[in-house]
Order: sequence, then C-alpha cells, then structure tokens
Amino acid sequence: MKKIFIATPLFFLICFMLLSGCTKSVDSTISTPASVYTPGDIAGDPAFTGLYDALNHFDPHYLQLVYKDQRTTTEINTGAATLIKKIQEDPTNVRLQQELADIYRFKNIEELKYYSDQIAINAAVIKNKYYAKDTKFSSKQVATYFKARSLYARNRMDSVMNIEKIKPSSMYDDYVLNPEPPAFGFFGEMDLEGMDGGGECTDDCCYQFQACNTTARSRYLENFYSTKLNTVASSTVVGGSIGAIFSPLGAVAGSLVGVYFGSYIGVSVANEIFSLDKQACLLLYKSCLLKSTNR
Amino acid sequence: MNNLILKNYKENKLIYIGVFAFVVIRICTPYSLTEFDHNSLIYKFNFFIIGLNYWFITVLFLLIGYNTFKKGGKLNSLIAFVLCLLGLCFFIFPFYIYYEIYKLDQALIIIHKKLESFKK
Repeated sequence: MKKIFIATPLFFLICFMLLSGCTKSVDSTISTPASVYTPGDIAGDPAFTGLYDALNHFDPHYLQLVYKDQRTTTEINTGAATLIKKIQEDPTNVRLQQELADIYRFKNIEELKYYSDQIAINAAVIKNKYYAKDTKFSSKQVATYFKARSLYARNRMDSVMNIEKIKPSSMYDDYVLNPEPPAFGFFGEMDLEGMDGGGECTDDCCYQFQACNTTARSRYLENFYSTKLNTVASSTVVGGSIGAIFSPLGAVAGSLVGVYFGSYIGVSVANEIFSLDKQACLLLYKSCLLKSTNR
Repeated sequence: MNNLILKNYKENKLIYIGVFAFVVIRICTPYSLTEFDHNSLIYKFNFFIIGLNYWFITVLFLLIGYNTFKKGGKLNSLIAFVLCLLGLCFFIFPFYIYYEIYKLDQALIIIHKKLESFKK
C-alpha cells in the first residue's frame, strides 16, 4: 500500500508542470529555510497533501489498486511517457490528451488538467514556502522532505483505515462498521425491507452496493433452487428406493432421511456461495469509497 | 434377495420408472441458471426444466404416500398425509422461487434508476 505513495515518479511531476503551463499565481511572501520546519509541519501542510493527493492519480499502483487495472507498472509508465512526449510536440492535439486521460482513467481531459494543475500549483507553493532561497538542497533538507512524505503516507493509511468514520449512511453502518454477518437465515436474507425503495443511500457507492447485494440475493435463490434440487432429489430418490426394497414404511423413512441430508448439503453450498458474493460486494463498496474519497 | 428385489420392483414399477425419467431429465438439464439473463428464453427454459424435476419429486412423494395409504391403518394414513403435504411443497417451490427472483429484479431496476439519476 505504501508503494502507492512512495513510488510516484518525479518524472510525471515535471512533465505535468510543463503541461499545465505553470501560469497560476503563487504566494511567494513566505520564504523560510526548510531546516526550521519539521517533517510534521510539511506533511500537515494542505499544499503538500494536495500535491500528493493529485500525484496519486498518476501512480500506476493507485490504478492497479483502485481500478483493478491489469496493466503492469512499466506498461502504464511507458505508455504515458510516450504520450507526454507527443503532447509536448503537439500541445493542442485533443486526441492525444484524451488518450492520456484514458491511460490514467480520468473521466475527461478537464479532470486530467485539474489534477495536473493541482500538482503545479501545490508544488510551486511548497517550493516558495520551504525552499525559496535554496538552489541546492542539503542532505538534511532532503531527509526532512522524505520524512514528510512518509508521514503523509502514514496519515493517508490511517485515514483509509478509519474511512468508516466519514461515510455515515445506514447501509454503511450495517455492512462496513459491523461487517460480522448475522446468523444466516433464509427468510432474513431474502427480506426485501429497505431494498424496494433504496431510499437510504446518499452516494452512488451505496447504490452500487445495494445493486450488488440484490444481484447476490438473486444468485443465491438460483443456486438454492438448482443446487438444493440436485442433492434433495438424488438423496430422496436413493433413500426412498433403498427403503422401498424392504417395505413401504422403509421407503418413507428413506425418503425423509434423504430430504434432510439433501437439504442440509444443498443449502450449505448455496449459503457458502452467497457469503462469498457478499464479501465481494463489500470489497467493491470499500474500493468505491476509497476511490471517491481520493477524488 | 434377488427375488425380494424383483418382487419389490413389480410392486413399485411406477416409482422406478419415475426415478429413471427423473435421472434422464436431470442429465439433460443445463447446469447453471446464474449464467443467463433473467429475461432470456434459455433462462426460462432452464427454470422450467428444473421445475419439472421438482414436480417429479412431487409425483414420487404422492406415489409413495398412496402406497402407504393403501396399507390401511391410522398411522399409515397419517404418514401418507404428511408425504402428500411434502409433495405439495415441492410442487409450489418453483413458483415461489420464481416470484422471489422477479421481486429482486424489480428492486434492482429501481436501484439502477436511482443510481443513474444520482449520477446525473
């Protein structure tokens, strides 16, 4: 996870600063040597946080984690580097800009520009605030900067771990704050209360979660229907047939034993599949929240 | 033992034919329902075929119940009644499942509509 925040290449920082033109005005009145600042001061600076929040969107590890991107880090970096080179040669080419936005999974070019602007603005603020008078950085300054970056990563990790505290929807309370599933009951799981209107959600992640859960319930019913049939029917038929060799009462007893064992096995299999589906929904929900929190 | 099995076969011929038919239909039924769209014809066909299997179990229960009832006596009649009730449950089960899945589909449509309107 920490790789997300650490592995961001400086290359992109420079390239996007060039891309956005560096035209924003920056407060340059404050210029104090970095040595007087602690890593905590720098890490807590909104400009520093804003810089790395924006940089994360250009990090291949971020794409792999949040969007389940199947491309390798090298593929993403190489593809982006080639495009950036082309854009520098032809800055007005919209198609190239859109391709770059697609590589980093931005919704559109405006979003790409927004984040590259954020990088440029915040980088300039940090430069002027902490390193304005420095043309060459001392080893202490570099160490302070890297410690600040580690602190940022740790703070970010903590905020992700405590993400539960910032999404107060009832669906969230039920499934994320209390992820322990209640005792499984067919009628409890099939209860549609709260599902028909879907009115409790306040964000699109919640709606996606509701949709995922509803699909899981539907899949459960289908599995319940087909899997239970296999086991109940075969056990009933086998039990009844064996019992019927001896007497009609034996057939009855054999059938009932078959129904019991068949139901147990069939329902267990369907329940297990349902639990896995629900876990998948929960992971997708958390991923969606993480994604929306980072944006 | 062979004579006993043969005698039993002759007495319960219908049950054995039912079992055979059940096995044949089950083998011919495509395995999974979850792979198909609920509105597709193949999904409905699969659902119906699996439903047929449940109705076969209903027939088997009724036959066993009937055989038990023929023996006479209060206990046998009671057992036959319970078996017929169980058979009825197996008959209704496919309708019940189909109705539940239909309700979930409707709920899903509403959720997707709300999601779309939320995104707009």
